[in-house]
Amino acid sequence: MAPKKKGKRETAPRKTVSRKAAQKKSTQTWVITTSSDRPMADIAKDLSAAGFAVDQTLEQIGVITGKSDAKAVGKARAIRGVTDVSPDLQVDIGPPNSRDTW
Amino acid sequence: MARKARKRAQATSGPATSSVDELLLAALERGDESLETGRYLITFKEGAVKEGAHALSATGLRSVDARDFAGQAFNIRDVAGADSLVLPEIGVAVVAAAALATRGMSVQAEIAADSPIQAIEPEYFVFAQSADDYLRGFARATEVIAKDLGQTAELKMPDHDQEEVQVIGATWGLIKCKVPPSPRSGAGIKVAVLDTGMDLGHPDFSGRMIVGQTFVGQPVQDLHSHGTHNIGTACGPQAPAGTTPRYGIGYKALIFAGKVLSNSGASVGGSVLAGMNWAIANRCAVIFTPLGSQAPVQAAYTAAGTAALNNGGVIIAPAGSSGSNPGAPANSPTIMSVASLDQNLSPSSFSNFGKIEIAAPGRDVLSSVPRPTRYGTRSGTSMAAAHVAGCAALWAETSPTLRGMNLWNKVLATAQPLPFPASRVGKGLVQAP
Repeated sequence: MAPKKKGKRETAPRKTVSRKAAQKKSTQTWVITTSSDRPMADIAKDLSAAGFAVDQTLEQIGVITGKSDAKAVGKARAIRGVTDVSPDLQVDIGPPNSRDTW
Repeated sequence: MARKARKRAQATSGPATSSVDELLLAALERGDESLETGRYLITFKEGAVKEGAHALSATGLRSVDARDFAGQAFNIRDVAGADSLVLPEIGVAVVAAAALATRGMSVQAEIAADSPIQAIEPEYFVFAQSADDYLRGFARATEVIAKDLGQTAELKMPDHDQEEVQVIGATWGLIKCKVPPSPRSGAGIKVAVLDTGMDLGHPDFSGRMIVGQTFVGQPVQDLHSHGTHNIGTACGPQAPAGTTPRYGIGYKALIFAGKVLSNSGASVGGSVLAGMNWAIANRCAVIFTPLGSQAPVQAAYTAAGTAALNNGGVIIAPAGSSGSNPGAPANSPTIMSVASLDQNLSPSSFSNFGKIEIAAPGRDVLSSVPRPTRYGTRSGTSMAAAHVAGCAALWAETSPTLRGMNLWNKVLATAQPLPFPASRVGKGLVQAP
């Protein structure tokens, strides 16, 4: 279990929870749109350095998906070649065998 | 799957006490469309249950009686492996087919006058469905049962415009889009459908080339129905089995079934984008994404739309059925947004409006659904977008230059104008070449 930083306010300061677990709780999937003037592999590397757990690198459409907390998002937006960072949008067309649908 | 392997070992129907799922899977596997479960129901004459149950046991059948359980309530697992299951309150025994045959009993054989048995009949599956599907299933079941009895059944179905159209041999939607007279089939055109997958064993698609890919951690096999229905409209057969009218447009198109929605209908972390990426990598001319959410324009979807257009593809999406603004991905400027029309060619009440490129039939659309039901009727802008995807495949076939933006422009330019604002119907009703 990684020790908590002394004197720093964490998201959940009172609970004794590992940093990994704390990160997991506040991480979500983000969708990063890139411009074509930089190789995606380089952008992905910079995203990792900024704290992203890169998931998919979709070469055809220039989109990278990954997990991170809100802190990394600000850093990501500043990376050269990144044109947009948005939360992953869940699509739901409704339950099976529905008469009416999207 | 281990379960499937076990079912293959038992080629015929299982014992009397198989679960419904086991019976359904077994029926699917032997290609049985008769709606029979494979078991038989023996009805005893009134007051003859005791004698009848005794007679069954006397033939050596391993028989279980509901009275053996407290309150006559039992779980199917409690009685595993029995040949017959006696239900004394209603005077019926459920018997496995194999057990029946080995004791010289059959549905056809005459029953002796002094026998405690009144009748032996096949057991049929029953399904819970939405109203129209239920009636259609019921009508089909009565046809099957009547045929067994050597009679013809006449069941009056409710009066629908669709019923009239069926007499002409195609769904109302195909007729309005001028599909039946078109010489085109979508031959050689790759059509990606990113949805809940496909019923890969559906009889109307046997022999069709279907490339499947999952992006949600579940097999491509459609257990939802949305994917099978949309693939049916866009790419279904020219001549479906039996008396079903033609419901599909690009009947020779090459189907790329991308499962980007799970069997519960939801996307899984970037699965839609992954599917779009895959379709573009495969250079599909038509990329049909019958899905969306009421959200503002998403940069990633717009990027995907651009990438498609740059690689000979067009992404086609339903505007959404919320009576509001088009949702994402349809609202992206690089993605074709489709509105829904009713049979009278007026915009459907549920159809979103605003940024709309084109419109198509979306109310009460008959198409394929997963077995054993096989056909079902749905309403939504997805159904409308499916008509556009199918027609786009036919247009793409007319010339190799009709790809990307050229195909987009052609489909819009050839639409039939309608007396409604562009915000409702775009350029109008999509038409086949």
